[in-house]
Amino acid sequence: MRVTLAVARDLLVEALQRRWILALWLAITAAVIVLAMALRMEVVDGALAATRLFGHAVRHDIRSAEGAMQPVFQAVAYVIFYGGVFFGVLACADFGAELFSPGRIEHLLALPIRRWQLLLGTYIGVITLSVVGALYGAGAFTVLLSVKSGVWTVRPIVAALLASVTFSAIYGAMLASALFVRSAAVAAAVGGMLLVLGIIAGYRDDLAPLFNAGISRATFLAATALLPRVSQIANAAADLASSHAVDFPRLARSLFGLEAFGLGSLAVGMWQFERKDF
Amino acid sequence: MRGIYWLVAAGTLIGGGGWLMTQGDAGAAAHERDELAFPTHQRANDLERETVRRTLAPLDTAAAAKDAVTHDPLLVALPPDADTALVFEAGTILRAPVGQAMLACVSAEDRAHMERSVIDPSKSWLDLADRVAFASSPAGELVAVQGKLDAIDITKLAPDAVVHTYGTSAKVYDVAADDARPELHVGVWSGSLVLTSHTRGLVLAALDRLDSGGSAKLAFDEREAYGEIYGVIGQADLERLAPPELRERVHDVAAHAEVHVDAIEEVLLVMDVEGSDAKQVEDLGKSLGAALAVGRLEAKREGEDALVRLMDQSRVRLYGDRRLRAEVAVPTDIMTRSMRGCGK
Repeated sequence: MRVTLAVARDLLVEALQRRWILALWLAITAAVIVLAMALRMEVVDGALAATRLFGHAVRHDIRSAEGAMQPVFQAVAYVIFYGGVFFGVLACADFGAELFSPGRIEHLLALPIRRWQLLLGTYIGVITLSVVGALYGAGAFTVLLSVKSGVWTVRPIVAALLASVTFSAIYGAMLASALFVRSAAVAAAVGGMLLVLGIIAGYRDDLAPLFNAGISRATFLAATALLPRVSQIANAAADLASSHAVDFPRLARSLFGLEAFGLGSLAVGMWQFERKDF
Repeated sequence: MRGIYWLVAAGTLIGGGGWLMTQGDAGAAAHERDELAFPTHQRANDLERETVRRTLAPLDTAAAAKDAVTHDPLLVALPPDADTALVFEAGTILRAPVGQAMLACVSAEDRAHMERSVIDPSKSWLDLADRVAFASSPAGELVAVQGKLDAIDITKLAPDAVVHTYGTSAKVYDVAADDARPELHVGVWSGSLVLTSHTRGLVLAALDRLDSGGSAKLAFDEREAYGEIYGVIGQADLERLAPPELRERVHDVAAHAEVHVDAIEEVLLVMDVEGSDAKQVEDLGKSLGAALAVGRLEAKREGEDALVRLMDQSRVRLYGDRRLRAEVAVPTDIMTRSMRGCGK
């Protein structure tokens, strides 16, 4: 395990030197600072009475601050979820391709590291990166909005962690794809496709009636059965962030299924890794 | 064959994961919320109900003009200068949970007294009343009941009443004052409307308006007749109804309010308050919003989840000049809790 974690640590060190990651960190920090300076909220006895953004009054209802902040936290959760997963797909697409690049992979395989440790370490490193990013982004926005509105909650942060779990499943398939085609573009395409197909899969029950009963509907249901339910988890994350009721047993099934998909994809990659001669 | 066990593991994980996710599939339904439908405007069924109730045609134009403006007799009966005029859809409310709880508060003796006045023993007094209205004007107060009231014998309710015929289709019952109660005057119009007041002039004026087919001026616009409770509340009554901590501010700011209540499931109140000073109205809105927020916090502290859910959708909205709209939701259970003891 120590070897696996060492691989993950090396990946994190490498990631910190990348412009993509630095740009993300700067973008989140800048957005929080701008919002901190531009947003003014007037809270009277726990009711949000007025909001000003960049000096302009934002017209809204006078209601309990907690109730008024629900749609804000919901919107933040959606932005962090889809934005985070999308950015993760783009920013982490070339980790796999670089890992298996000629020269580097031979060097790594010459070290006392097993192949599965190398693959799992890379996977854990990327997932750690996404968790840290989610915590930083969601944490900063949540603290800012909580300070301004007086509504303290950790729910948007939990929602952001759900985005990380979702990304982990998609990244498992991206990393596996790098073992078949060593290309950052292909890995990004696999990630992007899984993100879009995952949104569709989350609504498969609603979309299925659009297909003719019979072969076409059965094909659609079969094709989407194994895909991660990205939109379903995104909706649950938004509900969680905005303090709405969440069906936790259903969410747990989706999350376990999602993680099984990620690890299964990683196992496919491992199968290919074991067969491959470098 | 190298690494075949990874392939087996992959198949098992992806297949098992797919099966698990299929168990959790719910589509958009899992994301749907119960948004409360506050009575903020006239809906199709309200419009249909209002149209059916516009049965009163002005006498001078009815014969000549086919498109003469017709009116709702109950609204015509209410004093046009009323500060407060509230109509209760009794027939609907009494069948709703909140109405059932209210009925439990009527004593058995009072019920028996009311039932004795019904001529047809197969009918209950409660089945006859469609709407009940209360109006308070400078001349006095008036209560109007609309329904199939020809089945009620007023003389059984007030045996010592003196009966007069009035106008074209009305009777007036005058009950003299005694030591226990002040004088009472009851007008019955066309067997469908009973008007009661301590001021005889109010009853007669209402009958005159009804006989003339109504006028353009009503206590409130007929298009505002939606919800299960609707009407206007004057400043004095608003102050009386306000929470103690807000009474002074309501007295200083609010001129009058329009009210609409949906009482079918939860009790959903929409109150449009109008004042004379925009800044003061805004401050009143903030105070009301704060009162709602404090109520929500208390409900949360006491674990009243249903109330918290409804309070989350309660709000105060400023609109136009010098106007604010309060939308407040209260669970029926909370409304009826204090009434349950009546049934014992």
